[in-house]
Amino acid sequence: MISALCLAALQAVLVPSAACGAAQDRQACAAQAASSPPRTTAELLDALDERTRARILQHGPLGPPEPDATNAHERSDAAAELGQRLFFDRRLSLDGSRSCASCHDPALFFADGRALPEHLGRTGRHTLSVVNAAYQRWILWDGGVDSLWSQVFDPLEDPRELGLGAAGLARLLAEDETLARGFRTAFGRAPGTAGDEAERTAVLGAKAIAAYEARLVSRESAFDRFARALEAGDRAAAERYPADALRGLLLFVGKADCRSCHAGPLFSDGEFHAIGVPSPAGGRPTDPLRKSGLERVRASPRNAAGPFSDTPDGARAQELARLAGGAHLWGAARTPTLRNASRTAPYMHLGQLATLADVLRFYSTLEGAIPSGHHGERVLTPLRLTTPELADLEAFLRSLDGEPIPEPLGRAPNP
Amino acid sequence: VSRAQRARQPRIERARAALAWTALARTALTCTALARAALLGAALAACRGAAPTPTAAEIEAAAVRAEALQWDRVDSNAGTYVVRWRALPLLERGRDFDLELFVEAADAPGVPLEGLALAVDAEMPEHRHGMNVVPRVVELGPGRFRVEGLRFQMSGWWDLHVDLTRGPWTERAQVRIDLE
Repeated sequence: MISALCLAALQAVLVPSAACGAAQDRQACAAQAASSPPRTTAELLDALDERTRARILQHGPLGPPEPDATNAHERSDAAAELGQRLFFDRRLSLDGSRSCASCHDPALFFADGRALPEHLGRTGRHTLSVVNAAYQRWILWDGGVDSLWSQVFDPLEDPRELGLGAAGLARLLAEDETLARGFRTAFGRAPGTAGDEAERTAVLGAKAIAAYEARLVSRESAFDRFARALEAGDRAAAERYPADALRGLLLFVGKADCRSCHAGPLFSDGEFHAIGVPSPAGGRPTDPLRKSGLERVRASPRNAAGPFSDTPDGARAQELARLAGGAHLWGAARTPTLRNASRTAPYMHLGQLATLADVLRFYSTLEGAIPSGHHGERVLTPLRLTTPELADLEAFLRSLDGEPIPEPLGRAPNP
Repeated sequence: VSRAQRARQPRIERARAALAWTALARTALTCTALARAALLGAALAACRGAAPTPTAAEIEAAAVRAEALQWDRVDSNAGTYVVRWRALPLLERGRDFDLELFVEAADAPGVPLEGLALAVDAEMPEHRHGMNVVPRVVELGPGRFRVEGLRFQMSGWWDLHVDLTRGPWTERAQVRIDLE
């Protein structure tokens, strides 16, 4: 790693250095690399080897999300319109003060911009953006639900969040004329509130919200345009990618090995890792995260294998049966996507890191990291990045900002 | 006849006698070999006459073995077993795959291996974690297994462990896989 960096510096200045050539003095080497003129996009492309090119193309361009087979109504426009209406409806909260959009604010890229949310009560985890959530296999930090529609019930039933409950949602759908009409258009039946019908109505309402959320997709970032150009061999288009972002990308897929967890076009392996980010309160991790999330998703009657799934024998249902539990999952959080990360500060499951620079600094030094147990997962080692390298990685992360969400999707539809 | 010639005479006679004995022995050996060949031929002819036509299962097993010999090979760590394996449909990061395995005793190739139990797991030694799923083992026949539902969630160095148990003894075969 060190010698690769030094060689890059040497190629740029064409002046051999005994220290760098021997890769013996890391600090002197890093200093020389920092003082050398950074390489341009064209120079970096000239030096791109086949393995690195293949690694870059694993990340993009990002295609549309896979359909959720457990929600037969996900692609229905009528369901999505009803879901959008519900998403912005404050009557989903017990006291009528809050809607889904209160924490997932379109102006804040469908997040809340806070470390931890403030609503009817305080919940323990940082609010995730809904944008691109449709790409995830496991939803939320703990993967405690396995579909967008089943996630709706988390805030709906939690008295610290919306608190209206499934029966309350069914009642709202049945009693409000606009919502009832939208429900009939989407599902070909009237909403019901008696007995089991209330639960079925609430599930369909949740599936409508999921159909709307599945449309909140942000792709076509500068990185996607670069990946497409690289794939097509369009050199002119590839050279439009900023040099600092490309240097950051080469670190990302190279010596920094961020790709190990932030894998694939979503820049997330969709899995769970305990990386030891310290909590503001200090001490050992108090949130079980995946340890309890796995048990929760398995036990949920609204999971992919349950009676409300539209494919209870499908691949997702079978996957639930194969999940490996265990004590090692304590404190493991789902790898977040890096797409649009610059728009969704702060970071980590407690929002404990305020900026992208803070996140990169943590990975560079692992300062304050909670050590894993004797047998615990140990994915990270300090990257010890230079200041220019940190800046390049941040430039790369900013190149993952995709197209904005269309304005009509950022408000309640007209009655 | 000189003294020297007289001195050599007994040696020549001894050599002649030895040659005669060698010829006799050769004749005897040839006869024995011929007899053995005749017996073997008769035995083989008898066997051929008595052997039943191979069953469909035997033909299939032979075809499976012929195919498995083309797969990747790994020997168990103590050398008792030869494991041949392949991933289906593909071994890619973040994608479910199955394994097909064909196991033989190293000292009895081609002999169906009865009574073998197999377990598969995988870990990332550098990360100190394994897979997030538990695969399911299906026995297809003696020494033949399909392991369903593996998933390598990360790129990097994986060790695939195949634990082979027969009676009280378990032996491990392991494969290093560097996943891009």
